[in-house]
Amino acid sequence: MPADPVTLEVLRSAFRAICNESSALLARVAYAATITEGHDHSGALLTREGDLIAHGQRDQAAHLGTFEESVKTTIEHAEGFKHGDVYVFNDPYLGGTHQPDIKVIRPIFWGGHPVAFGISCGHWPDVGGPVPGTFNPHATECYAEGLRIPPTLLHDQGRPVRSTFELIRSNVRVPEERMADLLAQVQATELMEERMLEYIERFGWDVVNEAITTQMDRSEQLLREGIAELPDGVYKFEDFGDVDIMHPDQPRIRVATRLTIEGDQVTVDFTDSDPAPRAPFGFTRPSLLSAVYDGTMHCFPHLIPLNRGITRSIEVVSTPGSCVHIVEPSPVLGFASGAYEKVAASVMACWAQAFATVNPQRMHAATINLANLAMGGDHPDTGLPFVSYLWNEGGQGARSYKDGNSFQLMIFIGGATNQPVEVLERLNPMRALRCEAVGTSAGHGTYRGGFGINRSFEATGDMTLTIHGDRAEVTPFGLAGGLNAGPNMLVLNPGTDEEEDLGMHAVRVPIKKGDRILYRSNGGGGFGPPFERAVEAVAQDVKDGYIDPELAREIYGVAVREHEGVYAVDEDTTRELRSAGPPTHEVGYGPGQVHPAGRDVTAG
Amino acid sequence: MAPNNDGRQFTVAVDIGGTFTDMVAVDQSSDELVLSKRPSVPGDFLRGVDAVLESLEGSAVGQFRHGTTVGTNAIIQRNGARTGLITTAGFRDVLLAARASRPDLYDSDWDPPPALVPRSQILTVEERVDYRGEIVTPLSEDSVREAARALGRLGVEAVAICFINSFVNPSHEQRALEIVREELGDVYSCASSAIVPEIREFERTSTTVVNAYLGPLLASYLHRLEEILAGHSLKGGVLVTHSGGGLMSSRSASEAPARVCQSGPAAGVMGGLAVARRLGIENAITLDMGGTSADISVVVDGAPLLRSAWNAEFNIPITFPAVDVVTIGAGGGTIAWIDSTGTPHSGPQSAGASPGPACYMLGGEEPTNTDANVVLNRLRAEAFMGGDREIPLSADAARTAIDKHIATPLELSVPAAASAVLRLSNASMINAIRLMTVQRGLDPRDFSLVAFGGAGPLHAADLALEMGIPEVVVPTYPGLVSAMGALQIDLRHDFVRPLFQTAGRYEEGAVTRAIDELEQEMAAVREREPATEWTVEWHADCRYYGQVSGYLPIPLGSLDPATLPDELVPRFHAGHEREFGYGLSGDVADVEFVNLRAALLGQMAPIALPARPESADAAHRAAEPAYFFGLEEFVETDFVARESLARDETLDGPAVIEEWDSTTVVPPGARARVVGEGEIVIQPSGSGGP
Repeated sequence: MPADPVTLEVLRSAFRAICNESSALLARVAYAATITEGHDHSGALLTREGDLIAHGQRDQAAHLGTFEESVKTTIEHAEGFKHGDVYVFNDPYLGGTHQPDIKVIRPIFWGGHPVAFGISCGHWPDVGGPVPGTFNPHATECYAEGLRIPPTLLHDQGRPVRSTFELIRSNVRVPEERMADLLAQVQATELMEERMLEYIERFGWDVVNEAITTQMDRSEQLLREGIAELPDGVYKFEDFGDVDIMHPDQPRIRVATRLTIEGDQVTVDFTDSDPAPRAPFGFTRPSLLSAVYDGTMHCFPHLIPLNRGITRSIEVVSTPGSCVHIVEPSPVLGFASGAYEKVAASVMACWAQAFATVNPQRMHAATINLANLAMGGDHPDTGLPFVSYLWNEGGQGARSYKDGNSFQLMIFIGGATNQPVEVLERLNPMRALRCEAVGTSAGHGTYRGGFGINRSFEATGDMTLTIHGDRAEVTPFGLAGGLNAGPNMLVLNPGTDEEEDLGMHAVRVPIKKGDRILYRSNGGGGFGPPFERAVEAVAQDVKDGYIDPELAREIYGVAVREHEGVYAVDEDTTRELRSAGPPTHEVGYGPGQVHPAGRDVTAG
Repeated sequence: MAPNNDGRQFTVAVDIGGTFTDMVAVDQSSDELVLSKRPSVPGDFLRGVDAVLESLEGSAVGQFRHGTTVGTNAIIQRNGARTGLITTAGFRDVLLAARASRPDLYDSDWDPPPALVPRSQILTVEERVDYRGEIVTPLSEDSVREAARALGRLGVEAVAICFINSFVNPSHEQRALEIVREELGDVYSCASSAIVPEIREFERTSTTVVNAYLGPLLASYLHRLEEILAGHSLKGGVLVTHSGGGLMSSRSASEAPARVCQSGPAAGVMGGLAVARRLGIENAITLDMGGTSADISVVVDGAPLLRSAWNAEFNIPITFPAVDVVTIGAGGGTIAWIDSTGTPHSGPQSAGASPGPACYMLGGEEPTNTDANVVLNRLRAEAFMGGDREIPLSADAARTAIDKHIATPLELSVPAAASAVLRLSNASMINAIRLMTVQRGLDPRDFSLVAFGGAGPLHAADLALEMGIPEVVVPTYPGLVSAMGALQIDLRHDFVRPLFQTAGRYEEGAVTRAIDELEQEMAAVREREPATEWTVEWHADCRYYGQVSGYLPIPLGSLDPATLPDELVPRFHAGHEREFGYGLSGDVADVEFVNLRAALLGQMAPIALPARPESADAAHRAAEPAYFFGLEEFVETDFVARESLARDETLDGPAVIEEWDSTTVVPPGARARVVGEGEIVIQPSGSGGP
């Protein structure tokens, strides 16, 4: 007899609550700042076949699409499971994301058999390799990117497998902390098991199982209904990585996306994308799936959580050896700032074309791209070693009906936060100089992207610095005539004789006490021609000090006058400026230009 | 009203909530208790206070204790003072960048709620202090003067000042505050180092901004309150309840308005705690369920759980220690609905008081929890009252709403659909209770559920049964627990100083200085507050050096700076092991002492509340059919007026206990007993489960 819809809904909420709970537990218990402060972690439940049931509400989208492959690989590697077994895994070429994302996988036992899997994933600050922090933008093989772990028994029927712990301990920096993180992840999966068993005891396995399959079916139904409403067609977009830093004379790295809708079917095809570059940029197939799902879920936000009903409804076509489907030993660690953001943004741009006449609210320009900054050395005040990661907030892409938000993190990360200046200054020899929006960083438009941020700082001691990012040149794109946003930037001693643009791929740059570092982030791309932006909205940005009156005049054709701190629109001049027609914006992929593919993605 | 010189003098507590204004007044000499409940008057909350005070019929008011939603409301409606913020040059966007987080992974339509200060009113001045407190750039007094004047021209009514690292060296902020006061005179102003000298620039800025934003409003509110009280022959002082579950004088409140937000829910928890204490219960979950939401909190070992900060709204943290209350959209007015795939949901939307549940017949058509309870006859239309004002309920309207929106689409009978609505709402409360307990390693089966508010006792026994909670406690006056709580709590002030010492690199002098400063600050507060006896609880916030995110407050026995590390380190290792399941050995990780905290507790003369009068009266009993989970049919049920229950009487379910502002359900198989001062204790039957 089928269970009643209320019980099914109670269970559906319960699956999500279990994942939220396990994710929250990990954030509270772990040691790594990447987990506790950066919230680069996830928790999910999967079926015994490795189909995704649910994940935490503020988890990391980049992890979520890889869980099915991670569990399926573990099932293949393990010769059967016993109650209390726990596996540890990270191998990107066997279903993982990248090496620092350590996954702990536990079969959930009931009645003597595994009935589901719990997975807890956390980004560790270091998994060995030649560079502290493991990020190595100059790696040309994965063997220079730290420890790879195929599915390996970590707990054998509840007993820790000492040799596995020792193997990991011997290969990572600050191993005591990482052991604490590993224990925290084991605890997170244990909690999932306890919780699932409570529900199975209460409702019976058949009802729980029915809730699992029903919610997948419903998600699939909702997605397919949504797709069926969209016009059939082929929607294309292209985006680029700035450079193959280990082969800089090559053209930019092209990510070509073709999304085909036929009835309620969707196929996303990447076969026209470039081959994998030598340097880290690309990702393996599971992360490609994450990025496709991520872009798709942003256009169907009511479908949260991602589950098997959705993943089985999206066909993804890719060529092994390409930049979006690399194979061993192509390096993978920098995928989040590389291929991931391009694929997710392009998938959203393809959906935007399909939604244009049906629901323009689902059209989004591109958002800030990750630029990881790692600093390390010995702290002059304490003599103790320090390693610090910085990431910047920046602009969300404009939506077709309103501005993008400023001070947002990348689209793949839900629960992450920035790091307080006062905390960073205490741990690292640095003094922050800025926490301020950059007026020129937004992609201007009828609706503008959010502003990027300037978080410049001064070194108060010697250190080395490694940057791993992208979008210094090919910046977050605008749509419908909105402009591309400003660049990610890392410049040493700007405005001095010693000024040096460090780009997005510098490794172990020596920094001296007193050096100043400009660290600036992307804004979001704009939507629609800037000249069509409401005059009051432009005036408000001037009044708020985000943009200066010259920019308002040149880009937006709006004249704003200031008298003793009070701003007013000069109506006559504005009318003149606007009737003279918009300035010509160059077509291209750089800051302030109009994206050649994006300009044709218009609403209505 | 003419003063009534009958010699009576009431200690009065008034709690203003979003829906009702409640009063509990006690005259200690005659043991007389006066209770009143009136609809709140949004926009003019003090009219509700005046109205409830009428019930004293002119008798004098001794001490007046007050919890109010005025602060929370001003934030929700963004009608606080036009506020300016002055901050360090280069750091204009600390407030607006917030922590750069968002609540949902995929919600691309989401926008952060607007900040309390627009960017045009955030100005910067030349100054900089480093993390050790050393001055890198001296304060440019001219730039402060300019900023103050510019804010003056923008017409600000309040100014907040927050500089980077001011928590280690407040001198620049203090001087800037003097200059702002010189320039702007009467404008309300405050500096972060005086409000909450704690690390993390965004959280400190946010707290200071909230303080300024509410400052002028609260000052005029308290001034008017005192005028109204003068009309009711106020003889004693005015005390305000705060988010930390304590009281402070109205003068202190006007200096720390950010503390006054959330005062009602915190007092509710303290009221629930007082009930639990009287019954000898150490561990309790409190559930305050009203018209629009449910507040859930946890009491462990006789004390509320405190958190070091809480969010008035997304991106608006307030870093004062606060009673940890989780509010979820589960109230009488919470709406049930069905999505396009036929999946039923409960909330978070609420019909509120207007249009209200369908059965109110005020224009609401969507089915709510109240409608479901009416359909199942757990709430009888004729017995339901909204405070002093009787609201006639339409059972037909409730049935129609459930039928149309739930029963028909799901192909269920109307009672089965109503039962489904309640199960869904209960499920969201169960998830929230889990979040408050299990996630902290607490087992709900070790707790009693203290349920109050108009709707708490309606749902509590079912929740307890589902979660394996062994007993439910319904207080003597479940609709007035926040006001009751205000009569049973003490004065509390919290203070903090940064330490940033580690066991390995320890400077005794820094700790001595922090203790001295806190002692001075507390001495000043003691002088002006009306406690009979003072105690201080000292804590040090500790973590492993290098941990960024949180810390554990570790209690301090002695206050000897020389032995402080020896005392704290082993306690911290043990505490970390207990709290997080692991500890690191001392040779791996140094322990950092982040902050020194002092809670100044001022004991108040205890107020004895008279027991609930009893009058066993068979005339107040009836038998009617009602519908319960598990049975899934209407069964003959005893309906009992609460005032007719005798002490020690037991009542077997199914039964419904009715009173003027709340209803208690005793499901089939459960047993209720009247204990102590008239509280009801229900033992749900059956074994536990999720």
